[in-house]
Amino acid sequence: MATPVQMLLSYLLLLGLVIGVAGLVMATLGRFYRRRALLALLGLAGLFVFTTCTLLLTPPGARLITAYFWLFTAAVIGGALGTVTMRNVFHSALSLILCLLGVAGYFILVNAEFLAMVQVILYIGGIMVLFLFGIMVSQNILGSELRQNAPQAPWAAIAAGLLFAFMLFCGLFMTIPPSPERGRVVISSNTQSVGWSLMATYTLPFEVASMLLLMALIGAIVLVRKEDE
Amino acid sequence: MLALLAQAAGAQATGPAMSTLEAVRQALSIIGAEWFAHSGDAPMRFFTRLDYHQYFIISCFIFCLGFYGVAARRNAISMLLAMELMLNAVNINMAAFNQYWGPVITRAAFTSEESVYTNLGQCFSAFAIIVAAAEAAVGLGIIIAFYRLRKSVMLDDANLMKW
Repeated sequence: MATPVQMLLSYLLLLGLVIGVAGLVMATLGRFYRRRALLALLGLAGLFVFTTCTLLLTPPGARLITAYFWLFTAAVIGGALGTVTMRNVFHSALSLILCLLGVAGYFILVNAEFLAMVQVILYIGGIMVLFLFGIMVSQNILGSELRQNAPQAPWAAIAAGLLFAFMLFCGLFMTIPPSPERGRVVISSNTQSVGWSLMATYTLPFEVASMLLLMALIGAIVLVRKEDE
Repeated sequence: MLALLAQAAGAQATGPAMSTLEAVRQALSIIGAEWFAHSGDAPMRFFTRLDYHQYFIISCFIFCLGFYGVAARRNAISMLLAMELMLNAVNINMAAFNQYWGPVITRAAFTSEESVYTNLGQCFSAFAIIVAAAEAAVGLGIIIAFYRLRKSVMLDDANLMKW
């Protein structure tokens, strides 16, 4: 059972999280522009309380992983919120990069180092740079005064909320078999094992994927080429 | 679930002295949030005991944010960015579930004593990343071709096939 200290710490944790998130969100809103320094300070203090309480409640062996997990979660959720709410598309792409970095951190936490490297090199280094070039080529969307949301945005928010509730409902009531006893788990090097799987077990999907990439390459060139020459 | 609710209501009615905290805990345990309901040594287990639940909930949230972005944005490039968010949510889920159920798949396939850590989910995530790359290239190609035609990337201007 929980001791009174643990109970106190856990409610302090929730309070700190609520105050921290509310303070930081209010600090970014234009309405509270004059008090934004105070609100940001309040938010950071709340997040500090949250972090301290979480680490005190975590068993000592898992403290490092928990701290990194919530750090990456802050990056992922903050980046994703920025991606869908920012008016300037360039800033939106930059906050998507923050979100993708957080996802790379998640991959390291779940023992998928190969995927983390692929995420950083291919996603951030390749796809996002492509996006930034695309944004720069179509210049006239960079103004921050442009209205970016369609008139159906409130309905989209409602639909997304309903979808979230439905997915949580399904996930929480789903009977997932308990994670198996590890016993003697043989974990080889992650990159090596993924390479074996891609080259030996999943050779056909791998070839199909490379064909898809080739077709996308040619298709993009054909689409972007000028007609008159 | 109804039976569970009835059982909980009965327990609340017959229980001699149940504090508000206990009642809240019981209600939370009914809707499946065991971390808040504290089944073990510490309450707020959601924040302190990492499991696949946290990854699942966060990836749900990211997926819904991406859905909102795709549905609400006027700008074609913003829509593609939101689509990347949805793809990443799926990747998080597959990698996280692979860590927690990696051994069981191989144990069903091979009849050996030790369970080898399979990486089916990670391979599938790699394929999803490949498809995301192809999608980004073709999508941006279409957007740039459209920009040449109309000098705009707003989806309101794509009204040629509107009746």
